[in-house]
This record gives sequence, structure tokens and C-alpha cells, in this order.
Amino acid sequence: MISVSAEHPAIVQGDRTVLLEVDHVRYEEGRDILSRFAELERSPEHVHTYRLSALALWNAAALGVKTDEVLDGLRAISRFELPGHVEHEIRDLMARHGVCRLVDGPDPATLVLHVQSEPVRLHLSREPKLAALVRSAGDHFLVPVGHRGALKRGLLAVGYPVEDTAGLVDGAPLGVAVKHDSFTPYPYQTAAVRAFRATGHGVVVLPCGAGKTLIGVLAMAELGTRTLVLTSSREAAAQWRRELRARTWLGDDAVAIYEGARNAAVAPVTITTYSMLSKRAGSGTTGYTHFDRLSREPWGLIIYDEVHLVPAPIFRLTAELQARRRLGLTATLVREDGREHDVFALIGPKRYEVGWRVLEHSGHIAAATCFEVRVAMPAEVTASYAVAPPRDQPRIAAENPAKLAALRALVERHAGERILIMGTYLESLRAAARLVGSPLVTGDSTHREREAAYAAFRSGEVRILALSRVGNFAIDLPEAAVLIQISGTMGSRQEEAQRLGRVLRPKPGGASFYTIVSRHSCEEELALHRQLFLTEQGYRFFIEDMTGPPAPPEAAASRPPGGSDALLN
Amino acid sequence: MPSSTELRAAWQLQDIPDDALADFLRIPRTEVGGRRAALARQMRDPAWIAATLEGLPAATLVILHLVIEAGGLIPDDHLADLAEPFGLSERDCVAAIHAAIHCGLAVPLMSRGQQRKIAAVQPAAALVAPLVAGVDLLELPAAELVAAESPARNPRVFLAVCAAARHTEIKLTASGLIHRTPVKRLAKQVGIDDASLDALLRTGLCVGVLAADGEVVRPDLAALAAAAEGRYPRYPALAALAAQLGDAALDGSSAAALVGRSLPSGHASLPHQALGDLPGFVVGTVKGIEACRRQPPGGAAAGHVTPSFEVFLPPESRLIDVVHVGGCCEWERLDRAFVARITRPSIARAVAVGDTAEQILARLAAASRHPIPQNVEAAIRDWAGGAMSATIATGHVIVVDASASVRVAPALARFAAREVAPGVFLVDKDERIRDITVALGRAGVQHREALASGGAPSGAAAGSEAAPAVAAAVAPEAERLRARVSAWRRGEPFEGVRDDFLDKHRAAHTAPPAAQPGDSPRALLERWAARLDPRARRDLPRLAAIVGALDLLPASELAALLDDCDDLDQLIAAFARLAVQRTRPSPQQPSQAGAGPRGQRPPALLWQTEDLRERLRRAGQHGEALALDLATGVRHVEISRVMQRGTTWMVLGEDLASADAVALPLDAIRAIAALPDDFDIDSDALDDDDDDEDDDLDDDLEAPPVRRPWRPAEGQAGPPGHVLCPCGSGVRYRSCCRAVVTA
Repeated sequence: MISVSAEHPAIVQGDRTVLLEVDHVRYEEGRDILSRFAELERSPEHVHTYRLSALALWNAAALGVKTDEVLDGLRAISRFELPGHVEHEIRDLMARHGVCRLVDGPDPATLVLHVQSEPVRLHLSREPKLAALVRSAGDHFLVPVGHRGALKRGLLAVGYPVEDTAGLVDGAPLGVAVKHDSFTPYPYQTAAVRAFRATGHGVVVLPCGAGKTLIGVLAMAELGTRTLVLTSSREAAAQWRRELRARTWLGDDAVAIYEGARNAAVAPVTITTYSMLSKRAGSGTTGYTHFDRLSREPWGLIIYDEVHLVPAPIFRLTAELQARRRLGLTATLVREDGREHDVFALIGPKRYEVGWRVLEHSGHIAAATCFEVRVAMPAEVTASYAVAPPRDQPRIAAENPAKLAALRALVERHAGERILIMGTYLESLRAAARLVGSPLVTGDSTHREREAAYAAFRSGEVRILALSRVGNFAIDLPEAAVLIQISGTMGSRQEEAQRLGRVLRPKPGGASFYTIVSRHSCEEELALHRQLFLTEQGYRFFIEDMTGPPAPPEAAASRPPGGSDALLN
Repeated sequence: MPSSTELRAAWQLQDIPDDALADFLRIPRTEVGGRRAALARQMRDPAWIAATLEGLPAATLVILHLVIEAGGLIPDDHLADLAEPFGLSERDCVAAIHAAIHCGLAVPLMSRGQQRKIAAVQPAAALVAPLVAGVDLLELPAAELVAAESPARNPRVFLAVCAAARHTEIKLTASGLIHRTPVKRLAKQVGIDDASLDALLRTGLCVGVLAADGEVVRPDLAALAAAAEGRYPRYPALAALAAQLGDAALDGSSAAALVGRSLPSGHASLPHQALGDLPGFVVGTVKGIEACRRQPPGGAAAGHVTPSFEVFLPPESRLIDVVHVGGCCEWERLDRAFVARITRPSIARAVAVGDTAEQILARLAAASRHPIPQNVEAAIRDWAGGAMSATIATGHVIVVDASASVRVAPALARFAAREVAPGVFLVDKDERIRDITVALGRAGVQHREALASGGAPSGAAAGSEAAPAVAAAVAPEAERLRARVSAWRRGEPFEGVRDDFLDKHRAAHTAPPAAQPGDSPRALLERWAARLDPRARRDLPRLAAIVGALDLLPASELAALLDDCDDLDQLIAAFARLAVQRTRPSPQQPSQAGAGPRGQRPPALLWQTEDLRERLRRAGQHGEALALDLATGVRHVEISRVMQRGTTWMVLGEDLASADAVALPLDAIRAIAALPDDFDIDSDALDDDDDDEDDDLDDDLEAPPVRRPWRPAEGQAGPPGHVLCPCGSGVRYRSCCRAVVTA
């Protein structure tokens, strides 16, 4: 092979991936170079995989990185000469950035699209869907403001990102003063805000527990404008409100949770949920009554919390909000539906990211140890599992009563620590809650019940809390040190990572994350897939075998429920 | 001899007639008997053979190699084609052949179809063959080899692709070709083009690291592991190449030729460009010449096994690790670094062919720079324990040592035997055990004991000693010859001595004494004598007969003849060869045996040995020109009369070559032959410029006509015999076209 030099830490592959050896003495140099223009795809413990994706290169180009800087950077760390076609592709992709540039038009309702490439210009004129969005005007196109998002999506789909330099609406001003005496932002939080501020739209990717909410708060303070916060659940909305009150000097009337019919209050900082926004009703311009209601407000910033959860309708609606500054926050920019491109086009490119293990090493999140605990299925369960149709098998395996014995053993192992028990199938979750005597929060629990349970857990009144899928996201329980997962939603990598995030708030002694899996069942495969994201982030899973004769769980499981699920004890 | 070529067509020394042998060896005919006996002894003496070869020019060694390579007999034109890559022109070939002929190692023949051929001479050929077997291998400085590595076709990818066949159903068509669909799928999966992948798979099938299992292709992991070390037990031709290569580099074409000729029967030939795919070899160029050399397997345990079940093999990892990882993982990317993934099915497939969890873990650990992550280890143990496979088959199970499979498989081919595991063959139950036993016996494998009825073998058949054929050790003499030829081909001196045989020859031909229009043949001869041999100049007056004869030649032909002679002795010998006229009245003509299955080919001249007097008398009546076989050679004489002097019958006439009147005793004439109508002593004696040396190659008088004879118009008489022939040949009419008219 050509020009071998073991002094360099990276190998550039022909598919535009870059393998970076973690143990190499020049690893950090390589990491710093790659982070400017490559996307960290996987970061297991020995070899990190970066991808020179089109989005990553365009992100770099948007930040002012030149093609030669990319190539020189790669050559500086590559053990071999760059594959010829990779260099060509990088040049080609980088050259595409800036071909289409959106600028302010002659009037506030119109933007101007400059296209430097004749083929793209032709495509734009002839492709019906795109042609409907623009109007030719000599050497440029006129674009109605309302088509801004759709046009950007359409051009990105044909491989040309739009450099959107058209002005953004400043929104109504709002002074957000941060309580600097109560906290000091971490450097990575400041850097993330700075990266976002440069363009006014984009996504920040940080691990769970790394303080993404605080980044939102800092961004609000930086921009000083009215803000709409979109979250994944009511609990998350409440948490945002709590955080805003704790970290800023905003008054109670300045922060509101928009809950539709129950509470349609709109404040300078309004928090609502995706589900609320995407409710179809009313006779507004979009047919989404709450969206129409909120979009009339003079927001200067829209924050998309857990941006990986943005439902498809929100993307369509977001296309209408292209004139506002947009900040996406997530821990896992992994969408099982593969709509990362929509995130890129409509909310913005990834502006800032820090690896999970990087923050763990720096002590900003807790060091977590992950275990997969395997338990055998009793004979009768095995039999019913074997004869069940495939769609029922995951449930049977998840509700394996032997898991309860393992759960009890784990709870005993972590006596004195705050423990979260999480599951997807409610029957087994109820049995687990009864077994360990913990409250249970499910989708049926009222908001008040949930808040009470969380408050009791935070205060230490209860040591163990059982949560259904409602606890997957945006639940801030920093005291939790152990999480025991007794079942999951099929093979969702995102859920696994988010659940781990529940215990990643920094704490002495680190955190433990357990997944109880039924042996010789589909759960093993699903667990493998679920763990993929975390193992690629550098987490190690230890396999623990608890296939000994399970203790009869009947005693605990048969205990009659007392009261509601949330207030079991 | 590392060659599959048999010297079935080589010529036997005893079949060479005395006259021809005398001519070839440049000895008087009277010495032929003794020399033949001595030569027969010498030809069986390896020391003499080695010494003789040592004395031959490199070009001649190449020619001998090509002749032997062709089975001991090769057509002239084919030889010229084969010699071209060695930088030998046709003229060079002729010169080189002469050197072999003069030491008795080769003979020229003429086939019935008028095709000239060169044959090696037995018994010497058997000893010459191993010594010249490798001289076509152009040794090049290994250090100067610039490797030409393709990202898609190199030994690492080759091994990986072959190992991947375990996890991908690569099917074969009814005609044994690889289906395109799975190849495309695998190519897309691993990120290389399907044409390269297809070529690699075909190479794998060719060298035996892949094998057809029914309609699918399966890897032989043991053979793959051996290949990773540069060994190919199922393709011994590569062992021959490796042995020949040593530490040197060889030019690519001759290396491919060596592989080709080392192939045992039944083995498919390896495509020329496939050598670069194979571990143990590296191809590239040395000063622009395609070359290859050995590449000892190197590398270190440089891989990584990650908790996400990925395996990374950087380029510096060992080839054996590629095989081991490929055996239990599915490739995701075959690029500069290989990326594989450990999956439950891939582990199950490894277990299905006999691997255990411990073996898999040990191999992964050996390939990895770090310990295997605990979750991966646990999963592999789990999966391997859960994987079970069973093969149910009925029939006769033949168990031999795995190393004997190569020998046994062909023997059992007619029973459509299936090799279900290394060394375990399954034959349909309808076949008779007796037939199988006989077939095994013919393959040298003795049937020792029947299998137990339960199916478990209670004793294995013999044959474990069968080892893959490898190249015989190359003799030091052969190595020396090979090195000498390589040095000559590179234009370098060998041990300080430059092989300038061809240089001299070419120099003589590139600057021939220009035949000026005004130059008479005599003037050319004198100039030649003055240039090369003062003695010849001094003796020219004394050699009036020769000078007179040569004077008859056209100036250009004389110039060519003189080019070939460096001294007077050579000139006399060349002239004598003219007199021989390429044929002998012998029933054991060398070319007859090789002429065809009947072994007899009509001679160009019908020699008559009886009733000579009457025939000569008739010839005298018509002034007929005849060829007379005398003890001193063949003379062409225009017969004028036969008369008795005392008790001796004398034949009178005129020698056509010298134009002298001759009187020959009838008893001295052993045979006579009528010359053909178009006989032309000039063209017969000396061919045109291009073929001036080829006359020695022919073993009979037959020569292609160079022009049509002149004939007088109908009803007109021909010119007098002493005037120049009207055909424009420049010689007298009686020596030229008159014979046609008189006939």
C-alpha cells in the first residue's frame, strides 16, 4: 500500500469513513482535526469512526472551513495517501455549498435565491415541485418567505444545501438575566451557545445529563428575545419551567406552559409539547389550531428539545418558521425513521457535539457501568413463548417472572442507592413495583401524581421509583444512581441511550445501568441492538448470568395493589 | 524437473544419420562412428551436460529451454515466436540453434508438410531439461520491484473474500461458473467492485482455497490458513514458483509460464494477473518490466474487537487474522482497514463446520491488540453453545487423512463422491464397495478396514503419506544457468563476463560487406580474406576450386555466406555444406519418424541404389543431371556418358557446382537420384539472404522453390549451356533451368 506511516493515527477508507485509533499518541490531534469537518459516527473504546458525510462537510463549509483545510487535515493524520475518489468527492461536495444562496429580497415577503450552477438552475426551473416554490427573475429566483423551508428541503434532496443568509426575525425583545451567582456554565455549554449564535439555527448534541436545558437557557439570555420551547412531554415542559425559574430572573408570568384548552396562556417564554402543537383542529392556515395560535406570536427563538423526537408534522410546520432562530437539543441524533436530513434542512445543521465518554472522563457526567443480566425463563414460560406468534414473543419474554428475582437481587445489591426501575410492559412493571415496594409512574398517572412521585424520589422519601416509558425522556432525577431496565421497546437504541441518561448526572461513585434479559429469547437480539448506540459511544456492557433457579416471585407479585399505581406504597 | 512436459518428441541420437551427424558436429564423416559412441556416453553424463551447457551462449540455453518446453520438438516458426519475448530475432534464433546443433544437443528436421522443426536429442535432453527448465525466468533485482497493489485486488482482500464465502451463499451455475447475483450482493456489502470480487473468487476456486460443495462455493479454511502463509497445498504449481523465486524477482510472464508448466493434470491454469492476488507473492514492475517476487507473510496482531461487536483489522494486521476473522465474522467493509461484525449467524456458521467457542475466541484474541470485551466473549460463548448443526446422509463413507484428499478426490470422482469434511468422502450407497476399493487402490490408497456399521470410522484408510506435490529442488547448475540467462537478458555481465555471442552475430549482420555493383564475387572474397583471415588470403590461390565455385554465386549471396564465416575453416565447412545439399539417401531419415503415424514420407529425391549403370546410361543419352551419392558426399553431375575402361565402368559428365569435367568410377556411386524439374543448384546451395543459415536446419534435400524456372518458348531451342541463364539467376543456363527443359 502507498506511503505507510504508522506515526499517523487515522485510516481514511474509501467510503469516506475515517478510523481513528484511540490508543495512538496523536489521537487528540486527530480528534481535533476531524471534529471540524467529520461526523463522529461511532466511538467504541479502541477505534472511533468518523464519517465525512455530505452534511458534515456542508456544516464545515458553513462554518468557513475550506476544502484544502479539510484535505490537508486529513493528510496530516492519515496513515496512507487519501483515496483518489475520496479527495474528489470531498472537493465536489464542498463545492456544492454556496451554489444556492438565499438572501433577503426586495420586500419582507420575498427572498432571493442565487444559483451559481446552470444545471441546478435548470433543475429548479423544470422540476415541478421546486418550480412551484420559486419564480424566475433573470439570473436569480424570487422565493416567497413561506416557501423558505420547503425550498431548502427540496434543494437538499437533490444534493445542494442552501446557504441561508437571509435575515432572521429578531422577535420581540425579552431580557433574560441569568443567575450567575447560582451556577457557572461549563466550558462546553458556553462553546455550544457560541456555535449556535454564529448562525442562529442548528443542533447541539450532548449526552443526557450534560445540561442541555441550560444551554437553551443561555441561548435565550444571549439572544434576549421571546422564546417558544417545544418539548416531548408535559413533565419535560415542567422541568423546563423549573429550570428557567432556577437559573434566570424571569418572573412567574414570563414563563408559561401552553396546554391548549386547559391552559392557553402565552407568555414571553412559552413551553409546550410536540403533541400539543401537532393536534389537528381549527380552521387556521395550517389546520393545526395550536400551531396557528402560537405561530402568530413574535418569537425570536424556537427551541426543539429532544429534537430526535420531532414528529413528522412538526417538520412540516417548522418549514413555516424558517425566519425564526431555531435551536435543536438532543443526546442522540439517531432517528429510527432516518429523517436526520430534515433536521439538518429545517432546524439546522449540527453545530456542536461532545462525546459521551469525553464528558464522562472530564467528570461532567457520571461514569456509568452497563450490565446485561440474563435470566432463564421458567419451563412454562418457555413453552408458551415457543408456541406464541412472533409478535407476542417479546411481551412474553419481557414479562418473564424470573426477572423479578433478578430485580430483587439487584435492588439488594444496591441497597442505599436511589434506583429507577423502568419497563415497557405495564403488567411486569406493576409486579416489579409491588415486589420492591416502590411507586409507579405510567402514562395513566396524573400530572400531579407524577410530580409527587418525582418530588418524593428527589427528596429521598422514596428510594426506588418505577417508571414506564413516560420516564424515558426529559425527566430530571439527578439523584438516581442505578437504573434497572426490565423491558424495552423492541430494539430502540434511542430509548436505551435516553434511559441511561436518567442516571448520568454527575455523582460520586458513578452510576449503574442494568438490563434484565430473558435467555434464549428474542430479547437477547433486541438487547444487542438496543445497546448498539451506547457501545458505539464507548460504553461497555458486561454480561451477567443469573440463570440459576429463580426464586418464586409469586409472593411479591401477588400482593394486592394498594391505591393507584403512582402511590403504591 | 519441475515440469509436466514429457520429452516424448525428442530425437534419438542413434537415429541421426552419419552424414548429418558429421555435418552437425563439423567432423569428417570417417570420425562419426567413434564420435557417436562417445557422444552417446557423454549424453548420459550429467557432468558433461552441465559443462556443455555452461559453454553455450545464453541465447542457446533459451532455445534449448523452449524446445524442451515444447516436448522436445518445436516448429521453427513457433520457436521464433516464443523466442521473441527473450529479445531474439529469427536470425538470432538461427545462430543460437547452430550452437546447440554443433554440440549435438539439437537437430533440425523437416516435416512432411515442409515445416522446419528443431528437436532436442536424447538421451541428453533428459538431463538438459531440468537444467534449462528455469532459464526463461528473468531474474530481476527484488529490491527494485515497485509493487503495484490494487485496493480491490490484493492478498488481504483475496483471503477476506474467500473466507466470506462461508457466510454468503455463492452459487455456481450448471456449467460451474459463479452466479452474478450473490457476487454483486457481496460486492455491495463489502464495498468493492463485483468484477474484482468475481475474479478473486475464481482465483480462489482455481488454487483450491474455495471448493464447490454441490451448487455453492465453500471456503476451505485450512487451505486458506495455509494460503495466508504463502502455501497452496491444493495448487502445487505455486510451490514450484515459490521455490524458483527464492529471494529474487522474476518477470511476470515467465513466472506465469512456470506456473502453467508446473500444473499437474486436472488443475485449472491460473490467470496471469491473479498472481498479485495471492498471499506469498507480490507483483509490480522492475524498470518497467512486469515482475513478481515472494512476499513472506508479515504483520502483527493489530486488530481491535470492540464492545459493539465490530472487528477492525488495519492494514498491518496479519493475513492469518484476516482468515480467522473472516471465518467467524461477516465483513462490512474491505478497504484499507477491514471492518467485520460478529453476529449470531456468523458464529453459528463457524460452529457448524466444527469450530468451538474457545477456538473462535482464541482466534479473535490472537488477532486483537486488546482483550476481547466481556460482552462479546459472553455472546460468542452463548451463540456457539446454542448453535447446533447436523448433516444426515446415507452412503459409503470413505475416510482418509485430510492431506490425502488431493489424491483421493480424483480417484473417487467417477462415483460423484462428495467431500463432506476434510478427508471424509461420501459415495452413493448404490456404488459397489469393491469398485470403490479398486479405485482407491489405483490412487495408491489401500483399503484397510471397513467402517463400523454405526457410521463411525473404526479405521482410516491409508494414504496419509500423500503430500502435496512440491517443486523438486533446483540444482545448483540450473540455478547458475538461470542466473546467467537472466544476466544476459538484463544486458549485464555474469561473473564479470559478458555473453556477447549474439552481439557478435548481430554486428556481423548489421554491417555486411556491401555488395557494390562493381564488386565481383572474387573481390568480395578477397576483401573478406583480408579482413578476417590473412591465411585465407594467402591460401586463396591454392583453393582455386572453392574460389571457382564461390565465384558462381551472386554477389549478395556470397556476401551473406561470408558473413557467417570467421575464418577459412568455417568457409570450407560452409562450402562443404553446400555440397551436402541437405539430403541423404538413407532409409532412416531423421524426419521420417516424426513425419506422421506411418513414419514414412516420400523423400524429395527418389534415390536409386540398383541398376545404376543402366540408369546412368540412359541419363547420358539425354544429358540428364543427377545427384550422385558418393562416399565424400553428394555431387550434382550432368551425365554425358557411361563407358568401360578396362574392368572399371566410369561415369563421365560435368559437375554442376564446379563446372569441372568429372570421371567417376561407377563403384564409387552408392545411389543416384534424378533432380527435380525445378532444381536450381544455386538456390539449393545457398538460400536467399534471410535464410542463409537455415540450410543447416533441413535434413533432406527438399527446399522450397525460390522462383519458377525459365523455359524456352514452344518450338524454340534453349540457349547454349555455357551462357547465362535467361531466368536472370546470373549462372549458366546448364546449371540453371536447362534441367527443366531436358526433363
